[in-house]
Amino acid sequence: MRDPDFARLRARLLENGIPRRHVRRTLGELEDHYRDLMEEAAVNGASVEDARAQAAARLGEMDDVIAGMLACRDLRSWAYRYPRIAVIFYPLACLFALPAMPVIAGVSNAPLLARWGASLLLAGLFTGTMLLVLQLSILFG
Amino acid sequence: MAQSNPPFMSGVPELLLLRLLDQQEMYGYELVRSIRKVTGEAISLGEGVIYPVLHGLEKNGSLRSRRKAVAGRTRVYYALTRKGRDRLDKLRSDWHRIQGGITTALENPSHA
Repeated sequence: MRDPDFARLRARLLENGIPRRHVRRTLGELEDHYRDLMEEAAVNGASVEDARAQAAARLGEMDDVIAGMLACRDLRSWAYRYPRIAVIFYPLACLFALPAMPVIAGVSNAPLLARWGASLLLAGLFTGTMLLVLQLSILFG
Repeated sequence: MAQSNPPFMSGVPELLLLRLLDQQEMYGYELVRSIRKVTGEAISLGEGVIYPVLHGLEKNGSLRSRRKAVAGRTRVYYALTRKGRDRLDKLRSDWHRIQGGITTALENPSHA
């Protein structure tokens, strides 16, 4: 028997609006439970393969877990519980966030921007100095 | 063989979980073991279905959880809150009322 399909469980929960943090926690608990069941079977004398099969059978169908999670409305993210509000809120939030994006990007990339600015300043000074020298040599040369 | 238990999702697990957690805090695997033990293995369930129930109860404030490191593993322990205790009292009285009604109906079918 195969291991329970935790990857599919994860994908189904995420695509149905269960928050990422909650999905991580659920998977952690289920994987721990699976490990406990395997250890219990091994202690009772099962071979590794039998222990896996028994543990998977006792853990049950992942579809039942998915159905249970999705049946509980409170476990879903607010955007899934109130889709009409989300449809209004998200575009508005984007509208207000848009002007702030360059500032946020600047703050989060401050060292890079500082290096870039310093390089630009040095390049400008060097070019200006060269032009000045050229100009002076024409005038007094 | 995999077990599927839709009937388990109809209020019984909630009652059992709240009752068990009224005595002491426990984590998922421990809870299932206790259910098997206290029910004399009468209730056999796909054990994974316990987590949606636990999470739902936590979300509505009947349970609280905390992480605890035990033997190199981090377990999520659940405990009953005051709201959970009230919920347990209500479910318990509902259960006794329904059980009484069904027992009466089974013993005196002519009155049904």
